[in-house]
Amino acid sequence: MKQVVHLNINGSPYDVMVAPNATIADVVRRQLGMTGTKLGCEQGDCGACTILIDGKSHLSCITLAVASEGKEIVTIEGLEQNGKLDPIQQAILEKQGVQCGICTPGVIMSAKGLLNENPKPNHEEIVVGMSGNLCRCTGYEKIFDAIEAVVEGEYDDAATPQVGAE
Amino acid sequence: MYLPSFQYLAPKDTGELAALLSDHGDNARILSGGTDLLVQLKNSGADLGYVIDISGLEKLSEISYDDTNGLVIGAAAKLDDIMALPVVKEKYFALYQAIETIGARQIRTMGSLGGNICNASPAADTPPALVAFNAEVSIASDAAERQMPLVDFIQGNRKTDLGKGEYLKSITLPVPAKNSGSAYHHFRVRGGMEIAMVAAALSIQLEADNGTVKDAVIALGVVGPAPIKAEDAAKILIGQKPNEELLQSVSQACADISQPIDDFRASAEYRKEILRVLIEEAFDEAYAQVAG
Amino acid sequence: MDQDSAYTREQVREFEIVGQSVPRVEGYDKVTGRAKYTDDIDLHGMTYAKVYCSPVAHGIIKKVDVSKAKEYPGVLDVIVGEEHPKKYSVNDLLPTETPLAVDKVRYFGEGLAAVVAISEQIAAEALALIDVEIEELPALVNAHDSEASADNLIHDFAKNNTNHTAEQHFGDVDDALAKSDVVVEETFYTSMVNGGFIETQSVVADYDPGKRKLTVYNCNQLAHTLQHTIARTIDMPLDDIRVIIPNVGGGFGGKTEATPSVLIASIMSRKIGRPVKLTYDRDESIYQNKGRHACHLSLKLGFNKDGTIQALDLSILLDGGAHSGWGFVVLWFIAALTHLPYKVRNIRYEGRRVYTNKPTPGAQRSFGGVQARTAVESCFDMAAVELGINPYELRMINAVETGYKCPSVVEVRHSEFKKCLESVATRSDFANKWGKLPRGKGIGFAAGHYSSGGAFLLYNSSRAHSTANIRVDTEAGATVFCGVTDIGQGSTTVMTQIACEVFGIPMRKVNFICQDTMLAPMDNGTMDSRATYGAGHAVKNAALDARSKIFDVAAAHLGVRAEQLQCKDELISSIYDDNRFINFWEAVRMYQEVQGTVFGTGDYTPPQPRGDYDGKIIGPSPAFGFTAQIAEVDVNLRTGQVKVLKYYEATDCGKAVNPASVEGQVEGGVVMGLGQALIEEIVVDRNGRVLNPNLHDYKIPTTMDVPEFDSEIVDAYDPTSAYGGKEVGEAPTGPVCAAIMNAVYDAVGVRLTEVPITPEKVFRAMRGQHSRGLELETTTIGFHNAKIRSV
Repeated sequence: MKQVVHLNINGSPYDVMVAPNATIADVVRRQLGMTGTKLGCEQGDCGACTILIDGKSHLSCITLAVASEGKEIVTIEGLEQNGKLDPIQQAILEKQGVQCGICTPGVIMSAKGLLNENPKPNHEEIVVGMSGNLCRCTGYEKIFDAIEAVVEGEYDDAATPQVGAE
Repeated sequence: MYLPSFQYLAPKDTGELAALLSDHGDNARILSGGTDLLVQLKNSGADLGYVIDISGLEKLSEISYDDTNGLVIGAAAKLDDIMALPVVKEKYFALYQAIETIGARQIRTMGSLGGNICNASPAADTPPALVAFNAEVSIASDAAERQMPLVDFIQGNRKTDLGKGEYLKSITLPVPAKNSGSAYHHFRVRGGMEIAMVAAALSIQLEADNGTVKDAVIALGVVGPAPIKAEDAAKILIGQKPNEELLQSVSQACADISQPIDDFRASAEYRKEILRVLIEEAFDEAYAQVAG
Repeated sequence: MDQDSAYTREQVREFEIVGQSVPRVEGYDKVTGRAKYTDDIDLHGMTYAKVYCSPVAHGIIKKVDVSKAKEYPGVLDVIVGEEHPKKYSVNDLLPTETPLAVDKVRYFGEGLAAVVAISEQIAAEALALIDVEIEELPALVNAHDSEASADNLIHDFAKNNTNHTAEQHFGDVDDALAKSDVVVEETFYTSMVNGGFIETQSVVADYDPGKRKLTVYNCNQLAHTLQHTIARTIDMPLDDIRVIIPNVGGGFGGKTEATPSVLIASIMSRKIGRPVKLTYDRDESIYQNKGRHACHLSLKLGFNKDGTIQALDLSILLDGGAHSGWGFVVLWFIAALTHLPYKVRNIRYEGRRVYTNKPTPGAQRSFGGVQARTAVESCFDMAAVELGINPYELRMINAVETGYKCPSVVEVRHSEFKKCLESVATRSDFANKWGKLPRGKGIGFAAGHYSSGGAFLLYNSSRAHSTANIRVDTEAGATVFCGVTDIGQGSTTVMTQIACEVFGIPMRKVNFICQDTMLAPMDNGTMDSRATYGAGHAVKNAALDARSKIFDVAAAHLGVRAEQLQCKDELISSIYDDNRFINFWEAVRMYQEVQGTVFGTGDYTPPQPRGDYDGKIIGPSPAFGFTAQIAEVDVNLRTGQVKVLKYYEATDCGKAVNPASVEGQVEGGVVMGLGQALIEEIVVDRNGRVLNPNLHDYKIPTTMDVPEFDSEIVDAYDPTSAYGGKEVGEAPTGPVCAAIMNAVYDAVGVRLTEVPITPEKVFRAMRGQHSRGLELETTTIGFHNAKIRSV
């Protein structure tokens, strides 16, 4: 039995008809055409589907849409503002923390969540904080470089208003 | 991959939860964080009547501590919220270590302590740590509420003592005694996003003056269908001043009662060897917390 | 265009864009979620297919009853194997695969039927209504058992389940070994691993009943090869099929073949006249595998007292899984890759590949290289100990240099391998650490190389391996059409850099159109580390062709000779007189006024090998990349767990066209090797059932598994290349297992000989026990018990 669910995604209201077993990943990818959120394993093993819910990193492949009413959902599509990248996006792009790109939206949303929780993580905290996002291309070095550059303020000028945090 | 079909119910309070469970208990699963349940459902493919979501129930998400009642954690409290509480790191270090080990940040954000317990996976991280603190669980239904030790609550692989219409309400960890320390050590093959292959938790209390062990609780994880409380092994420690030989006999006693599986990940024999290492290392760490 | 005169002139000047770490051309789309991958495509009238996967690994199909599934509301069609029995393989070499199993099942997870429905969920639900009966046969899950099996045959035609054999012999190995002062000998086993790309294989097939043409969107590395396979297998004219490759979420070799899903979706789309999407779940992706072959190796190396290598004698057995895939080529590649990068003159190689009831392996990064390097680099370490020569020195003594000609037809036209060896040895302070660290700490050396495209063309025709066409006009800038595929390695960016370098215009003025068989000319595709070298040549040649037309106009306008012109920052000027200049686009406009759009074309074909021995077409390459690596490890003396603390690497990739991308290839390549070395393996039980078809139990490294990196791109320029660059995508993966094995030996004195190096294997080895292995895998002994060094 499908039901209407009111979701707040990237700051906009969406009323979607969903079955109770639909995950947020299903809804954004298949119903709303926001295919930036990726699926790599569909059971919480790879982190490619990471999104922010109320500012924290969540796995959208194992989060029910019906359970997400009233929450602030941010997907990768919600970071860029008026053609301006979020510092993490900018850093991942410039430091070549992106290769094939399939894990990238999840990596960026995860990094976003990490910095929301801990704006100044040290290297070890970045390593641990990003361990839920598998990347097969980069060996992670350039991803660490990018996040560290953001932490060190290298991309402050590119900063857009923080999305997804408080 | 799809979830099987079900009806979604989100009770507004525990009363409603109890009523729903009483009506649909046989054909319902409780959803808290979803990190275990939804993965299981995706893999099972079997349709289900109801999924009852308790994640919105504030009462079940509360965490409190006082010097009389100890640490009381609502079943739906999120793992990262528990970990963030200073008292957990200060007084229940083994639990802190166990939570820190679970999955990755996303999993700890989503997952709840009650879920980690009720899922009753033999590889779950928190149950051995909770056993080491003599944790008790509160189980509620629309008719009654009862308490029991956590070690008795988890009965086996994916089996708990939850009866029809019942739900796990909270977990209580008594106030640790003075001069006590604790540690949770686990062994895993991959650095991140990994479950434990073997785990050991213990809490110890030392005599204030001479460093002998006054009390000890040892819990073994992943080496049986449910956490094992190694009481005989713990007794070896009581009244003793620890030394290498003593610890070896303790860890041997633990290995002797363990029943690890033998599968493609590792042999049972090897798991027992690892268990011994973990017991000894966990003891050293806990001891150092008290003795400095 | 005369390439030789082009490079000598280019070599002396400073480059503008080549050599810069420019961000990925498609990077903005990837960091914003705009980039479309196959599963992201949504077409009008889309339908969705799912495959019924065999629950047994080996058996006779007695019944596949799909009648109930056909009736299920929302289901549009269901097909079974016997409707489409045409066999295929890579380039039709030993074709045995069918889109769905016919008569017999040969591996766990093989497709038995496929359902197409109006939604993926309905298709999945309908699968449950399919009634299958299979008479199970004993599964052959071990290559040795399979080879010994005379009556249980996986394919009727393959005696003893042999898929292919290979032999090569150069010089006199027996004589050389007899005369060697030191002979080391060991057996090794390398495991079957999976590409582990985060994007599972996905396809959208869109048949247009009006035009009777088929468009296939698929995350594949070889668009044109795929087009051929589809055409042959579903009997359609080649030019009625258009293959478009959207963004590819990682390939690593595993996406160089047609998955059954591509053929299933194509067949179904043609049948129902609607687009069909089929995306594998992770378990299906692992069943379809096409990752790295498990390999049993037995190697003998002979050395003189002074450390010079005299002979190499290798025999191998490849566990081939259910079908051929790239297996035949892997067999020959191991032959070709084993003796380089060392100057060995006496070489004997015997290889066999046998069928087993396992997911079929195929190509994976450092194809044939991981197996070869694991054995050779370990034996080098053993020899170093025997000879009393530092492993670094021993490699230096034998390292190939520019101009080296192998006893085979393989020729090394450019090598800075020695610089690589020196670089890692110096940076790691190897001489002061090797054999001198406290027990439990170890350091290990290993090295390797890889080809930059082979001489082998998939179509066995004489056409060019890469062709590029360029259109330059004021309406669209410079637009390059080239068939090479960017699978994340960055070829689009590198090709754009090359075109910009020729034209002297900024990156944003160049459009790169690739990955579409209708728009881009035929290309051998992204494999064998050939993109930068092979396609790079074609793009450069095409750009030079177009530029010469533009320069002719400019020359006439400026009154200078065309060969005296240069272009920089969009200004064409005389190399002798800065005041004589014209805007690049103005020159283009002038050309257009008279002659229309500027077109340029260029191609590239590597030198063809001459020789009269079997396998000669596999191995020769116009250029080889080299790598030297050092691993520093910590071995837990109680648990046997190995932690790689620091990793030194040095690469000779010629001139790095994009240094940050090169670093990314090295780091990613090493980490893939590290996964195989320590944690990755597809595990199959005695019945052929895959035990770990998910990313939880099939463990690829996480952020918490990677060591600290210290890598260097050594100063190099390969004059045979478009801008001095050559391969880097594969060499770094090859030696990692051996570097770690050698470091473990240095740490605890036991020589592990099989990967993954699990803690339990090290634990047992330290106690002098044999590796348990899996009961079903009666593999090698597992380690070589050596004298434990006293500290």
